Amino acid sequence: MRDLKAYRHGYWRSLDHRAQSHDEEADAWREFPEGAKQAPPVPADSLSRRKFVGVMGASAALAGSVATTGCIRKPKEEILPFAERPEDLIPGKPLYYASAFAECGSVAGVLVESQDGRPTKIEGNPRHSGSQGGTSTFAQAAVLTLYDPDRTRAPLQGDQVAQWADVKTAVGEVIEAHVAKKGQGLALVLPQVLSPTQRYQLQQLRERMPEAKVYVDDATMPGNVIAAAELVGGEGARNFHSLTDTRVVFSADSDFLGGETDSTRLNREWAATRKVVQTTDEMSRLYVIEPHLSSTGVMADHRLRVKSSLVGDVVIALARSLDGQGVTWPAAAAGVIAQLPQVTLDEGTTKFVNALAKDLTKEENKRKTAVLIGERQPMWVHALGTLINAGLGNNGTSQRWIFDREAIRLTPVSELAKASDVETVLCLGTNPAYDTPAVLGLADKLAGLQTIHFGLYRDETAAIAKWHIPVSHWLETWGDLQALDGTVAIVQPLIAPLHDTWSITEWLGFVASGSMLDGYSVVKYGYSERLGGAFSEKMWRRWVHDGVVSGIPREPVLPKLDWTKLAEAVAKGRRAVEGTEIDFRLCPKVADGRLGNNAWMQELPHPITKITWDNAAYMSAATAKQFGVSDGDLVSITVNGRSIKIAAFVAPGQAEDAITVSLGYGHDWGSVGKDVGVNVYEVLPASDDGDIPWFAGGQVAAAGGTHQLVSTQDYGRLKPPTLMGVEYPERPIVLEATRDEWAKDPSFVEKVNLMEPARLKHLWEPPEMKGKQQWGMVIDLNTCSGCNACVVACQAENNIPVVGKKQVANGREMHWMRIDRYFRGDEDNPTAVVQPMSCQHCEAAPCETVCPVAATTHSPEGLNDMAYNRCIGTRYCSNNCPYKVRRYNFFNYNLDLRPGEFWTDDADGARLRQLQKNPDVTIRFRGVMEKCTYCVQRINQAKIEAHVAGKDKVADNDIMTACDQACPSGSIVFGDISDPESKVSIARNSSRNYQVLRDLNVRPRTSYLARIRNPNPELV
Amino acid sequence: MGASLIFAVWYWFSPSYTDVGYRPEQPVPYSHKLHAGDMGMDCRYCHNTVERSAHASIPPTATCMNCHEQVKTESLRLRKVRESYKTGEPIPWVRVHQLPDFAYFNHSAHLAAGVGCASCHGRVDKMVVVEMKQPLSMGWCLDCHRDPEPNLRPLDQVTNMNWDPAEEVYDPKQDPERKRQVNPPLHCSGCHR
Repeated sequence: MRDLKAYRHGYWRSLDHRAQSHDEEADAWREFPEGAKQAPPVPADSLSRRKFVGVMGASAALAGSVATTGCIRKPKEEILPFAERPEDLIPGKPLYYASAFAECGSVAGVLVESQDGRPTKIEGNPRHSGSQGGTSTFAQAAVLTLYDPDRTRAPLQGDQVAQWADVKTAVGEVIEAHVAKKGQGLALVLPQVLSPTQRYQLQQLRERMPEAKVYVDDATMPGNVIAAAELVGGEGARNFHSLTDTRVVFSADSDFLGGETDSTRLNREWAATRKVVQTTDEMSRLYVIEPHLSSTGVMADHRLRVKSSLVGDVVIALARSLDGQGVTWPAAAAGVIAQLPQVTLDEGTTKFVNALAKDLTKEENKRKTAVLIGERQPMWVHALGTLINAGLGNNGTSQRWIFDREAIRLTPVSELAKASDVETVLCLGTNPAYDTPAVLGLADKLAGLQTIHFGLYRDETAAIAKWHIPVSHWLETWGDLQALDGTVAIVQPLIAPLHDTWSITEWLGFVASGSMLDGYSVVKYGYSERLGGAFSEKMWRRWVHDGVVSGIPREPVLPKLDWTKLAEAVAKGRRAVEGTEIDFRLCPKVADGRLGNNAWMQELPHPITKITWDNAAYMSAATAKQFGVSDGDLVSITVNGRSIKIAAFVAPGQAEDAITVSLGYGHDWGSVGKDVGVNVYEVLPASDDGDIPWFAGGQVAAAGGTHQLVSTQDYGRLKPPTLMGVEYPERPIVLEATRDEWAKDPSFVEKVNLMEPARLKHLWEPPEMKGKQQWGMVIDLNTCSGCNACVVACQAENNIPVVGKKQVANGREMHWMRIDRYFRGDEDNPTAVVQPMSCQHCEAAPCETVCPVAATTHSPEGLNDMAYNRCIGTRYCSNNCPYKVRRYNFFNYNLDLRPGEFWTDDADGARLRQLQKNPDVTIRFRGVMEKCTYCVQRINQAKIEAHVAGKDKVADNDIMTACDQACPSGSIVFGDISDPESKVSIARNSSRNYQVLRDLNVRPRTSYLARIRNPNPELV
Repeated sequence: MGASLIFAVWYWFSPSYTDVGYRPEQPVPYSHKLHAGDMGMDCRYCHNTVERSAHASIPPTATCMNCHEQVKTESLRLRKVRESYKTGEPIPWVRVHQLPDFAYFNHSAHLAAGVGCASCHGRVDKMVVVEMKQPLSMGWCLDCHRDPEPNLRPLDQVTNMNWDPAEEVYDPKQDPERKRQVNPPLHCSGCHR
């Protein structure tokens, strides 16, 4: 047996795990996954086991009597063909339509799959620059919101259901009353306006009602980035980043891989600089400073824990250090660096900054660097960041500027709280009573005004509004959206509004022009009017088909950059934080709360902490010790006199004395989102000088009491149990090396196996696989940032049910794909690796040999098949699975909707949720095992298409599994491993390719490419 | 007693007993015998998606009206068809050949392989009211998947109801029209996903 010490690296998943690995004796064999809670005892009045058996006996007898009376034929089923079938529609064949949606400050172009008229799945649009074929978790989850039974189905006046005709008249009268006063007393609250059509409508509104106020309420809008761009480039200036061909990237608190603006595009661009095949290949280097371990921090080559309030100081130090390296600053920034304040940093940080500055200024990295400032940072840090990028020569490469002539400056919603002359507030797709700092008191203010709320749900604002008017989801809407880089996409509806609603664009048009036009006319005629003779029907059809507006000549106008106001901004904006630093973040799952009622997002484990169905106060172990709390203990957080109680969670990688809390939880409505987590807007400070504050000083104390937090971080640990006194060594699951180690030993992945391959023997012959094609998958750990897009894509594609917090606590989550996250090193300052894990499709699958009914068997093409209707639910297979990827339906999750545990539901609601299901995948019943199938429905579809075309084999690239297709970084490759030319075969030939637990000789078809780190030799 | 119970289940609970001969009443008394048999219309005139999709698709009302706007325009038996065409409401046809939802049958693959319509659906051209002729059970499917050749025919004879595999001499391996030889799946995920 080989000595693994050198390669084991001592990975751990949680602090419990870390503690145990020092005390392996304690890690005895356990039935339930570690971290899973035992089910609470059954209350006396509910179904006892004895009663259950009695009921079952009675129903079996009943079933028998039904059978003997002859009712055993399948029920009568009707086929309802169209009276006139729409053009291009072939029943059973999905169609794809291009559309787009706004996510976190930018736009993602998408292709939406329509099954017989129902949108069921969202893919990226390769033609759209913001997507390039990948998607985010938010895009994947959108279909579930569309069919959410909680969406309001009829307009409400107060609590009363109103008629649509009355609504239009009433709103019309309110608007006309304000038109008579030139709009005085009217306020509109909008989310960030990215639609050219809506901007045009706002211009119309300004002409019709010059006195009307338009406020923006959107926590996902990168307000400080925009403010900094305008400080430097003047009104209408915007900047964004591109990471194509970069060699050194520095992220100052920027989670650009995990949900900040344009993360889908940046993931793809950054991953392209990290895809190494040969040991000599170029590879970019990533430096990260941040207070809270993010997806970007996981991918860092060098990461420093820095409190948010000190990030700006580090950036100042970097600017000074670069100055020392002889960077030529732009003429428009003459003398600015000298005016920056002196900052004092500790030794380690100074070393980090100097090494980074040297790296950024190396000749070979010239114009191939990028400095990204996090959206949470104040405006002055962004402005300084633009200067550093300019000094490094990155303008035009990694830092792009555009001048947005039509940019409309909207007033921040915090001004609405101060406004005294407002009578009527129209909240168009916003929820200001919830997602604004509670200290503003907007909820009370809106309750006292004539508030008309237009939104999907009867949310916090709707509850206090005079009118609540349901609107269309973006999948039911015509519209357009302009991305940061200027790409305009047409939003087209996939389905007529399910609830008879109008869209925000239609309502805005009604307010702005006085007449209600349908969205199609509004968008299309807007273009034809603005373009005049250049517009044609053919052109329009091409835009709608491609999802991207093209053929309009644009003259890019660059703003004139001037940094002279920077020093003043630094002096004004830079301030210390008193007390413990409270960091506010958008949640990578529910954003600012808009996805709070989306069960897929609630059940999704947090990318780093793996917490589901909650938010928590993340703190370092040392900070937790200081406050005397551990996981699940309630702490009170007080900011400016307002306080909340929230459960603590020790998060490795967190900066000392800084507590991170996520916005977006604690809604008081919704059958999914109600009372999930804590509403952090309660303590979010309000801006007093235009800067949006994302961190503040606060007082923290243990509050007594606990709250159950459910984290999946210890589930499915691939550690062999201690059996009959024999202890098996923990084997390496994730492999990594530095570039130098890899260059020295290109086959380092081979060294971790306990046995020589020649010594491995099968207990019995593996099944013969004579198929013409052999499927396999390769996952590149060097580019996977663990963003979760694949997990939600898999859930949408494969009809995977949601089980609720209680069941996840019992270790019964159903995700076919999980993303394991491993730490290494110090408990407070570890490095981390993420690894997507799903069925490995072993050639000699241990699950198959123990199934007593042959419900799981092997296909000739190497798939580990699962025949649900044969499964009797012994769960032997799951027990025998070394990768712990099989999932069991303990309940009939698709039908048994138990109040409180899943969601209450009416018959219409159940029908609505059915519409989302993929008709190509069986809905599983209670008592059945399930797991990743490599998206066998997609494989079969491609095979049948090839066969009909007379081909024996499916071409490479014709099959993409759902995870492969969703992955924004292109880390997952699927294909035919028997074809040496296929992408997957090429990836498997890499010297980084390894199979997890190869010693077990189960020969998994999924393999991984080991992570390579690229540290700076000066910092090692 | 035990043996007779086993026999009873084996015989009376099997699709050969419960399903073969299933002949539900349809909302419109459409006669396949008249259209496909006497008048010789090709199956694909109405079931036109059969070569491209998993489903053979019941035709939209508009397909009926292609002819019936000219012929039998006043027929009482076509009242529901005209009504559907006018209102856009579908005609609620009753499904005859019904597989369980966990079995994913694909028409286009079978047509491309040269399996005739009549092999599974029987002589529809002789049925006034369509009925099930085969059990469509898993065992019955697998019989053919294990040995498909007796049920294969030249690709241009797929919809020909009169082409009888028992009488014709046909060797698919020698057919130059075939671009690939059939290789029907026998594993679970071939049909269940």
